[in-house]
Amino acid sequence: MSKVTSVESRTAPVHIRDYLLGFGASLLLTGSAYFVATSDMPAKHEAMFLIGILAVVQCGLQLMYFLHLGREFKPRYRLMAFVFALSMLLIVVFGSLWIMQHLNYNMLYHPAQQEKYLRGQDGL
Amino acid sequence: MSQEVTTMNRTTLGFWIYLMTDCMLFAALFATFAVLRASTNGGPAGSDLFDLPYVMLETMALLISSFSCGLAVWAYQNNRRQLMVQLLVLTGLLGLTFLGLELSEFHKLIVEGNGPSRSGFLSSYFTLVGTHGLHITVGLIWLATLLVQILKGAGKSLYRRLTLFSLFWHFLDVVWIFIFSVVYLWGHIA
Repeated sequence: MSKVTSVESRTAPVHIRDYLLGFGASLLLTGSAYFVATSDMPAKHEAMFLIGILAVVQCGLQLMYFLHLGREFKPRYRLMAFVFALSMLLIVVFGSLWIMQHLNYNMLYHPAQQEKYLRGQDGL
Repeated sequence: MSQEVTTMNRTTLGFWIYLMTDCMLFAALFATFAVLRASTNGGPAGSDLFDLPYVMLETMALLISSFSCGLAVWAYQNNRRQLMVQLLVLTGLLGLTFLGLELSEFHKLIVEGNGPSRSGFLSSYFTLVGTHGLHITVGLIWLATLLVQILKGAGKSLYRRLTLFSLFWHFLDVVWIFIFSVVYLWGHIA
């Protein structure tokens, strides 16, 4: 295992192909997402799901091709830091949504409010 | 993917870790926005307010600027200094375009009475998108100082500074992907 200090002077070559690929793919994915949002075709939930997938894919591609994530020399500290941050992010976002949704449901004390809320939820 | 192309430089790693903490900041703002998405206080919702073609214009400006920023790094590595400067200037101009469009959008909303105090939804919208805009602003100031340093004759540290700037700028575009998708596109549909 080579020492870390010798790594610092090396500069990493970037290939123009990466940027062209990343840019082209991002354009396509952005355009597709816009199309999905503005066309009447997909139903609301399917459209939201599709757009979400397109966003995640574009994010992944930009991380790979613009930010060169995962292409490091070992040990892959950058990748580790990213995976950790991503885990925390998922917990914060989905945790908040879950908790707040439950709070909304459990905190309804007035019957009229409750009915209005329950009617607002799909399927009721 | 097995080809190793990036060096693990201490400063770059440190900056990357900072970007991860910035990511957490945006995560919290996104979570808040998602929780308050329906809290419109009898006022307008996303679908009433957002002009999608306009947002696409902003998105294109930022995406192309991220691309030109990446090309600038490539140009540096291929000893094409003049091209690098031109690409950085392009990045800056596109960034300014984005900022101008966004500020104009905010102004219009505020003037119509739909400012951040109108509803919980609008508070969280202005906070999330505004924070991103603040990051862009700081990035543009950074870019300006970088360009001044280059034109005055940058030294050995230029590559490191350029790399860090490009990390920051690419990161902001990645965040914008989610703002564009979750705030604007979802807002338009829902």
